[in-house]
Amino acid sequence: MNEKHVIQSVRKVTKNLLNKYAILAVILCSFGLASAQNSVGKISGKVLSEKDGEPLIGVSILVKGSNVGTVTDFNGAFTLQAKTGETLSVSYIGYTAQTVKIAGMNLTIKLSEDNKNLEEVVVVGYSSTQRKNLASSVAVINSKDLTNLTTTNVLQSLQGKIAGVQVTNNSGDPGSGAQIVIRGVGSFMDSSPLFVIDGIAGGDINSVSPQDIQSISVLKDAATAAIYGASAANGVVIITTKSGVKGAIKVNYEGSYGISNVAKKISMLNASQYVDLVADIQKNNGSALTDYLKSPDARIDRTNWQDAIFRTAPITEHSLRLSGGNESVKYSFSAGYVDQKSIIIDSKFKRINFGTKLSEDLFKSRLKLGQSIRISSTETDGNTASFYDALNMPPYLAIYNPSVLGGYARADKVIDLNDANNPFASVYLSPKTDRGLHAEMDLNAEVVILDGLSFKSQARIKTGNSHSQTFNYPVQAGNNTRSKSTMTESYSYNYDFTLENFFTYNKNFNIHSISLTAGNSYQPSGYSRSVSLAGSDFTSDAIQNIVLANTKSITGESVNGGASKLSYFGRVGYTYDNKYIFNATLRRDASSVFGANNRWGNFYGLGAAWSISKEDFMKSISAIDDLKLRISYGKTGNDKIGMFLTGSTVWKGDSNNLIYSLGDIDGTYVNGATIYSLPNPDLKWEETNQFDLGFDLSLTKGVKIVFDYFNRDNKDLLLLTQLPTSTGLGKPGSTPVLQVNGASMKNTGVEMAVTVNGDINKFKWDATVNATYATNNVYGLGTIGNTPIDNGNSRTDIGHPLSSYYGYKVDHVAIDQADVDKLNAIAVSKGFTEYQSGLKPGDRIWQDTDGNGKIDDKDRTYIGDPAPKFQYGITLNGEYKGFDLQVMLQGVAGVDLANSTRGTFEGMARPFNSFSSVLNRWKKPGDISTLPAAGQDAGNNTMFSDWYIEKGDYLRVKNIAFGYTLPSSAFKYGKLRAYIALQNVLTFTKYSGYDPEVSASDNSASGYITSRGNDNLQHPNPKIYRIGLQLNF
Amino acid sequence: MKNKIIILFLTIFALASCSEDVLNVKNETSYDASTYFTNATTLTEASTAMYAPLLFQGMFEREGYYIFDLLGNDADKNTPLAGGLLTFQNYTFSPTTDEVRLHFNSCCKMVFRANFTIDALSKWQPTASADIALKVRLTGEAEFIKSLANFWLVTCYGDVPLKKTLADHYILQQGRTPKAEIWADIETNLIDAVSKLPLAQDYSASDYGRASKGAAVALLGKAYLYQKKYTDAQTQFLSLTKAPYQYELAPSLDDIFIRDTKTKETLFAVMHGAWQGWGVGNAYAMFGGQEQWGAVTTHTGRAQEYGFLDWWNVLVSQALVNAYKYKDETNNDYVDPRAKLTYYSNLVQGGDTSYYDATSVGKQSYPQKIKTGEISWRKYEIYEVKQSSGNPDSYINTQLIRYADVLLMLAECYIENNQVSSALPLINQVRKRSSAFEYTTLGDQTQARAILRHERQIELAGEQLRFFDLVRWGTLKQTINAEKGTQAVQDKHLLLPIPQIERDANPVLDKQVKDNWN
Repeated sequence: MNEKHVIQSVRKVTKNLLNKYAILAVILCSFGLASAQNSVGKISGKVLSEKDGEPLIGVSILVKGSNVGTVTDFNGAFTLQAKTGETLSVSYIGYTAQTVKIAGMNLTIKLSEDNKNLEEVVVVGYSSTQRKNLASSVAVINSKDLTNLTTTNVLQSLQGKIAGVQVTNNSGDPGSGAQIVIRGVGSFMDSSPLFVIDGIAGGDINSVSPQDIQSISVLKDAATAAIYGASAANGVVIITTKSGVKGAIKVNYEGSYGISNVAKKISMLNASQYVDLVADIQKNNGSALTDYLKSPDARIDRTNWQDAIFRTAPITEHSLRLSGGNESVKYSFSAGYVDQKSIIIDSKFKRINFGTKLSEDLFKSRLKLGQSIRISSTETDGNTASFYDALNMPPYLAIYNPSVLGGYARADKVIDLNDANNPFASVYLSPKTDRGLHAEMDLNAEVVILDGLSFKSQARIKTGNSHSQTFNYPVQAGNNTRSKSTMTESYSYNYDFTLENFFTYNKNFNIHSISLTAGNSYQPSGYSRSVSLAGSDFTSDAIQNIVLANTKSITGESVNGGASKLSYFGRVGYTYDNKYIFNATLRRDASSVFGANNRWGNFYGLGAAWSISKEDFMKSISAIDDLKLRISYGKTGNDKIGMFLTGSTVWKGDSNNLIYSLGDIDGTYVNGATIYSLPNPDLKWEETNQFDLGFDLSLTKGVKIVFDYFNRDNKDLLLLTQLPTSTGLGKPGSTPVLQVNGASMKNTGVEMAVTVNGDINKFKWDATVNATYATNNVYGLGTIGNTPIDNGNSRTDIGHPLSSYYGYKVDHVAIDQADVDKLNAIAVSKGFTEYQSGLKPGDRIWQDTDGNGKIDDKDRTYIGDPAPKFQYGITLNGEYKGFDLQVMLQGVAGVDLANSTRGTFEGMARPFNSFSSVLNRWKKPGDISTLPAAGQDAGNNTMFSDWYIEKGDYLRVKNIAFGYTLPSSAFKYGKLRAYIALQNVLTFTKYSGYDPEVSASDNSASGYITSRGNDNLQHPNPKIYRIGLQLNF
Repeated sequence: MKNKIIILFLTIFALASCSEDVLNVKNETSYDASTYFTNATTLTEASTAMYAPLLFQGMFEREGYYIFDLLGNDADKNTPLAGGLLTFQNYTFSPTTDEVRLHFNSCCKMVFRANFTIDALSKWQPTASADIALKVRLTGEAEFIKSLANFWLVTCYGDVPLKKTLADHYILQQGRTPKAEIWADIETNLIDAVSKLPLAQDYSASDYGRASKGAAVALLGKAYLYQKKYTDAQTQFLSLTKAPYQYELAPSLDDIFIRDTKTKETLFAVMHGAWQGWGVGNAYAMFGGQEQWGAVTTHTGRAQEYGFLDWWNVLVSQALVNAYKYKDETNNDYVDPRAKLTYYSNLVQGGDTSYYDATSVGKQSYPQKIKTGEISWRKYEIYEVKQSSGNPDSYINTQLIRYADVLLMLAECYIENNQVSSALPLINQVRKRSSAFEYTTLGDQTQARAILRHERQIELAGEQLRFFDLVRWGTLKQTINAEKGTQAVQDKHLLLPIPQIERDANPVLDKQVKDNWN
């Protein structure tokens, strides 16, 4: 992944040092202080690229042996005072320097590209380095790979791009986030990586518009990531935004319009089939149908609720960037706009991004200043209909019913036996708006103290506001009756500050090259405030503002900021003859979430690499252009747990609502207070010890291979260990837990990326394939008694992957009484009264996995793993005479999903509409079916079992982009490209749900880990068809 | 210039290397427990928190009444009843049934909060006389609450890990304590509570609902009764009929169960307040919102859950309806007048045939249900006085110990001690209030016992007591199986199963559980 853009901008910065004499000359000139030599004339000229004859902007030109110099302007032209016969030295980043003897008054100089020097530069945290000097596993994605993608979220654009990095969308809704896992989940609490934006850790990825990204580096192993010690255990994602480059103003515009819709619908029962199902459920529970359900009216199909809530939704995007600069100041201004509707009625997402990035070189480049601001404003209007409600609704109900309060038809538990909420009522009678404004402001300054030694100070202020409001009209839907309008609002504000200072020193002594970094980082707790308000009793609905509610109350508030952190770090790098590369990193971190005794943690990374292809004995192997072996080991940490767990805090209920009604006046609430948790003053850092062994291989035939083996050993993992209920601890209704360090697990795997490129006549193509095979194994729990950790359908235990599915195994559905009797006879022979409690024909028979002759809780077993063992991505690019094609495929394999929708829509526990698969349910003795009798002992028949588990493997054609760029002859002002892009158009999978790309039923950091792969009607990713235009001039 | 820049940067660097004070982030959301519970106000809050679990899941906002009304066959499933609740109807619940976990969980939390309060009070050394008195009273309340929860634990689950003091809650894996020890602890605590608690009438109006001396005496009597220590129980119950106690039967059962009047019949009740609207609380807090959903509610869902104009999840069981029809002393068919107070039905079944009597809508008849013969709950419903709002907003307090129960328990003691004649006026006192005929004799001990047990069934119907009564009388299996015509009740059902979740986290206890049950 050679990255010219990165290289050029980075090199430009470093090269500025080398060019200081030239710059000095310019500065002197501009102050009119250049020494005047009467005998000289004015020389003018132009510098062009030898390859394409394009003018080169900002080329340094110096009269040898003098202080006279200049740089080329926006047309590649220059003028300076010199004599014929003098020599000019001409240098430009990425091009071979030339010396030119002045032969006339008007010169044309052609520079050729210097491929040898065009080494990939990689940002590794507090500094950047050339890839050849890297001893660890770092993947880089550049802006070229990020374009053509219809993603409004930066994380989504990484999907399938990098070996070892798995990205899963939380939902198909616009504006929703994504989960990113680097080399497996390495924590029980929070496995999200650290985000570093423009050199400062802890930025919000949503503040960056995807179009503003120059490059993304992912630090996967400990050797490089350890510089971020405490926060780096789950990898580091470094985002560099686009900067202005010296030259005339550049304008980049991109606009697109598209439509999206759902890729798949699932067949549901029609009205008649539904009523038959309800009749069956009732009969098997010894109950009857209601009068209405017996009537022919209930057999008339009125609404296909799936069709009713899905729609074709438009998406519009625009982005505009202006950039440029001169010798001392560079600028980039950008604006982005996204307007996208959800494919499920009826929400609309809008986002506006603004970005400003300025940099100044002062005092002969001895002082460099930088400022940037990133602002994102989001607005989500309206609700997204509940999928769940829609599928539950009886098909005979119309959407509207004017006689029902609110105007939407209502499923009534007494009449319909079904109390699903009409999804339309929730969508249209509770209009909702969420707004957010997020801003990040970065300031930095770097001073060059000595040649090679510099000091940089960088600060970031991050602040955000959000507001959300919902107005609820009177409604009757399902069980919910609201006779008067109500309103809720919430406001939040947060402010965070980061300050980092560090020295860097880079020096080459002959064949020795040394680089040093040392500094500190300071991140105070910040502020965070939020308040939720509820209002009711509106005199009129004409104005929907909470100030007009006659009754108002505060229903929630929070006041604390995040953890505060203090860190010191250092790195030493040494390279001998570009062959032997060593680096060592040390970081000492403190976090306020831990008690005073365990507050500090020490982390380190060690890396070594051997550029074996530079050895003489390899020179003879002509097929190998470059081969480097890498080895690294290091320790990183994680502190992502709740705050104040080391002390005992007072519990007054969430938002102070621990109350009881004492007193003889009805409706009086008296406040109470108690505690619900045990403090653990001994909490300490989680540790991840990672070993990485890999190689980078370039073959002369344009093939590049990067291979890594990794072993991440996660120790002292923080976990919520389950305490016995009998302790009386814990929140109401919840099982008590205690935060402890204890668990340990390993993520082991291999990953490989192969890039091939070629050029057949004028057809240029490249292909990149990346693949990862990884496994997870928990080897210690350290909980009280080492008991497994249960989270609903998953269990974490020693010897199994994290959060493995745990449940019963289905044997078959009991065919008839003889089938049942046979099993009971076996149970009786083993001393039990029956095989399975209350087993009747038509019930699911569970497997007696422990073979004791009887079904009980101990027959539950491990039935699947939600983490993919294998994941891959394929990117193909082709270019021919102005046409370009990009195809991106992405897939996972060896993954199990828990299709929880089956419990609801194939469970037949209650009279809700169901998948049409239930037509094949067991109905009478002798039936052989995979689905049990409707309603019969549903509690038992819908217990979590391998019936829910499905293979979640898929291969998806994530993106196809086909574009055409007008030749410069037709459009001479710049570059104009039109394209068509298709996203998620084709998915190969055996998964029966809406979308095999399932993240979790709970997408919070810890919820993702415990409920991963649990498809509880996650909104499917839409198919998107777009046309767009790119214009650069 | 260069020096200036260097100095500037070194200053910044020095600033950033500031002291570790930055790491001491102050909790601005919650108080520190070690310094909070140190005065009269906050310790009173700690005591209020002990009562709050009475509203939790598994308790009396929802599951508590379902579980025991269904187990005792007072209530019968109606068509909409589903899920875990249905398993109590047919006795198919298991160690993983969530309602069992929730009930166990809420009992344990009550014990914890009580021990926490006792511990905090013990560290408080007040000097003002009012504070000294408060410390005594709050300690008594905590002992009562702890005993009430332990009473439920020992009667429902048998041997459970007994938590005598706060320190015991930090023993993370504690095995089972024999029942006898738990009963002894209940007795000890209640005897102490009796000595510490004020009389109900001595509480200020704003403290109405707190445990009083009379409540502790009654619970102590009940603890003796359940252990068949009839003489000890008799002493306790008898004392409640005399000064200084001022308990008396309410004029009508409707005063307690429909109109929610604060009568002198209540010894101890779960205090429910009317729902204050969506702006204040979530009407559906009964599904786990208590202390969780950022809203305040204390109402119970019962009126909506049971009510025939609402969710109508349960009916009155046929066995209970039948119990209101019996022979009087002249061997004539008799329909007990309490039938009309307990359920809605048609004339044949003796229930109330109209509703909305005291609402602006006016009296409505209960005809539409006749043809299917469904008999619906009236006790604890609001339909006589308030129109159904479609929301669960019942404010009717859940009676845990009322004077009629005390009188019947006293009568039972007399009967078991073979002093049948002393039981007669007590039973008649209860019957007379509802205009049921008064017995002239209870017959011999066996006949008296049958009358007393029948009286408890019809007087205390729908008050979650019958299951416990049948268990302690040793008649659960035969009675319920006969009533339901199934063999659903097995010997193991005399106790609820130890919740699986407790066993998973407590291997010490798990080893002591037999047959995957208790």
